[in-house]
Amino acid sequence: MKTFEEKFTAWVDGELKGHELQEFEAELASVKDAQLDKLASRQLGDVLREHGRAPALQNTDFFNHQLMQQIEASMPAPAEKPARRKMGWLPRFALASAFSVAAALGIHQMMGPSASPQSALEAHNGFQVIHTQAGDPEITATSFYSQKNDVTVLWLDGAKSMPKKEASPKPADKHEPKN
Amino acid sequence: MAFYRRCALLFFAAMLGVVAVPAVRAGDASESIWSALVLATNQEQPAEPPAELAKYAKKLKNIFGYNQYELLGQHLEAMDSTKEHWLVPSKELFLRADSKLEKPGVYRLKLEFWEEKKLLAQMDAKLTGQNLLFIRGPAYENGQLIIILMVQ
Repeated sequence: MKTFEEKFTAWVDGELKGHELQEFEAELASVKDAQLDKLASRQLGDVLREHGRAPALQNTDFFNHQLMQQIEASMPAPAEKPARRKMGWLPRFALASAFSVAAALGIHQMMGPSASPQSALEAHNGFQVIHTQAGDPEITATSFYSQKNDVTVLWLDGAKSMPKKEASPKPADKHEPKN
Repeated sequence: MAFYRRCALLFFAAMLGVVAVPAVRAGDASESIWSALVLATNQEQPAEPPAELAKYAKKLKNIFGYNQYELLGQHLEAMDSTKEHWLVPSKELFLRADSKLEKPGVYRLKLEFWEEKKLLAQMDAKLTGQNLLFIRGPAYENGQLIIILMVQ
């Protein structure tokens, strides 16, 4: 005579047939769910205890070596560090030098005289005429630079001729130009 | 990091040289203004210009065209600070110059050209280094009065 558990195991394995199957299924309908769950859990535990153990490895070192090789093969290769070139500092040094020269030229331009077109024409020989004005409406005052002679000229037109007695010069003193 | 530190040091050294050298060069000498009153005429037998005008004779001829240049008066004035200068090459014609040192080697000069108490013209100019200015003044007799201004 099979117990309920043996019948249940046979029923799960599909081994119950015919009249025996009909009787067990009729009996099963009267059994509460909790008891069925308990029975199923117990049977699952028996199966796991019997078949759930991992096989013992006999060559563990070889297994680890194989495993590491597969892991390394699946990893992307690290980027190779570029070889240090000879004179590798030269481009950066050239860049720094170019920047220094550009900055120096900029400062030199800022420190120098203004470079408007008009003043540039008159800035030769270091005499930059900024403004010229006649003191008499009949007189016109014009300034220009003679490049050929390297001299700035203030040209007054319309000034009345001086009578001879008024133009009496004072005697030349002893001062002389240095060059 | 050491490379960038060296570059920064080189850069600042270069900048110091660029800034300091012109400043020292421009400020190492005090300027003076030499002014001269010249009478330019055309003569059949032109005399040689005096020694003071010898170096300007060719330029004067090229600019004004006369063949004789006579020195009527001259004056030398130191221009070492911000002050007013009266350049008096003659009793009747003279220049008033207000000079202001803008920065080492650069002067701002305001010139007034006077005929006794009458202002003939004024000029605002900036001076750097050696400067030569000719002023064509009033006519005198059969010639022309010219003022030479030399900043040196």
